[in-house]
Amino acid sequence: MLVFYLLSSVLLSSLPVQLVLLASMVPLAITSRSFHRWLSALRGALVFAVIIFALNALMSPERGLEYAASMSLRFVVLTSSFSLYFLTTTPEDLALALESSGLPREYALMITMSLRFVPTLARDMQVVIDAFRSRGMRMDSGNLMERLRSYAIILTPLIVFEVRRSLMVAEALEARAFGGTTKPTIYRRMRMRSADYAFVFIWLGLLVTILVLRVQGFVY
Amino acid sequence: MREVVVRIENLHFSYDNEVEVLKGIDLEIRRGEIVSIMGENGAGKTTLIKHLNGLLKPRKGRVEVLGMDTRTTPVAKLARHVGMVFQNPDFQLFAETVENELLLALKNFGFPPDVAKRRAIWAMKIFGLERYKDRSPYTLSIGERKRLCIAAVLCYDPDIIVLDEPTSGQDFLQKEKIMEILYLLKQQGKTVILVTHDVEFVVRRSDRVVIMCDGKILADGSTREVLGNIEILRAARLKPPQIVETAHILYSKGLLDSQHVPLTPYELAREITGE
Repeated sequence: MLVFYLLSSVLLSSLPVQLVLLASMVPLAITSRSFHRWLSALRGALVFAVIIFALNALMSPERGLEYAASMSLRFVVLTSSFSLYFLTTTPEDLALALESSGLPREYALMITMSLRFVPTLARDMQVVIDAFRSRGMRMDSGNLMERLRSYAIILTPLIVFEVRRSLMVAEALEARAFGGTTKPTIYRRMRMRSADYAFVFIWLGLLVTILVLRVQGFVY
Repeated sequence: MREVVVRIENLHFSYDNEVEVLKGIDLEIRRGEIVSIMGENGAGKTTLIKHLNGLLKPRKGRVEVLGMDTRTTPVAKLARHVGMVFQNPDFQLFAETVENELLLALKNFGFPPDVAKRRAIWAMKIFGLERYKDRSPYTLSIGERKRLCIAAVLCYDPDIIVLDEPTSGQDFLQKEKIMEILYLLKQQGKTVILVTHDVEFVVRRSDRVVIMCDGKILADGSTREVLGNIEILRAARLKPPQIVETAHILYSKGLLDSQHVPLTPYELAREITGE
């Protein structure tokens, strides 16, 4: 599904296409009960979308506002399709899927760990920002240089701690015999069921259809 | 009576509009008091203190610090008068050297460079950190990093100092050092607010104890009144200080008269020997 959205959005650049792609995600979001969260992810992307629109409109006026709109919508489609994917897939399922499809444990772990630590990092960042503000320093004042400087200052304790934390995680993993020579027993295995095959075929089919239409010149 | 420096009226707060974390807190703290806020995890202690410098704003009710309403005063302005030290020192060290760490807040608050330098040196001396002057804060031991965080807040001389779990993870010697620091602050007339679980520490250094439970204040009184009262401690699910527990066992056996609740070993010994 993700591949379909990513490729279609990138290969086709007309405005109606991007709108259709975006709109088609809505029923998916609704049926997977993640509509509100998906919507707030969209809101987050809005700022950048506006920036992209403005930059396109200013830098290439000859291509027109429609082009600028479709570029900014493309950004929204890309980010919201990723967001939809991650909202509907838990890190555990993702890990299981990656491992069951034969990806070596280390790589699967890298991916799932990055996901797993995002909320932790967000929380830690909030702690650092609280401490920063408690020393009387401001995050919202001054020109661009000053604000960048405050971000740099905040990153120092954060990065030091997270590097230390990654070492602690590594120790914990070793204590649980990760990376040992014995092959681990797999408790649950994810298998491709008929529903999964159907899912893949549908999206692949949609993608191929779009590509064919593109090549034929019916959509662009 | 000394002036009220912190006035909290009917404070309600929730992080996400669903679960209320603070359910109507009323508290007045006077200048020069050492107040310990105690309670089990999740009682709302850290949430409460974050209102004192405006990091969090009340949903209902108001918080007034030194006459300033926290809803309308910027955090940077409140921080000049309320120094807050959080639990984990690693999240609060921003500079490349120990000296710069202390100078950071000083420069920020507009102290002239020579005054700032003198204050930084003074703070380093008091906390025994002057030999680390040019070293990175991260090369210090955990106890020293904790002391550095406290120093970084003290050096710009706020009226009110808030410490979140100052003794957690510290060994006995470090706890003693922190107790000395609190004594120093008291002598300087600072108001100190501690959030802590460490009942033994509170018994020795605190004037007043406020116990929180489930977002409300369960008890608020002098250390002797609150920590000497086994029923209140039980209700708040706090372990009484050992001396208090010992005294209660002796009361129940009729070996001691329960007029005076002893808080220290000396007091207990005096009660037993009858002065």
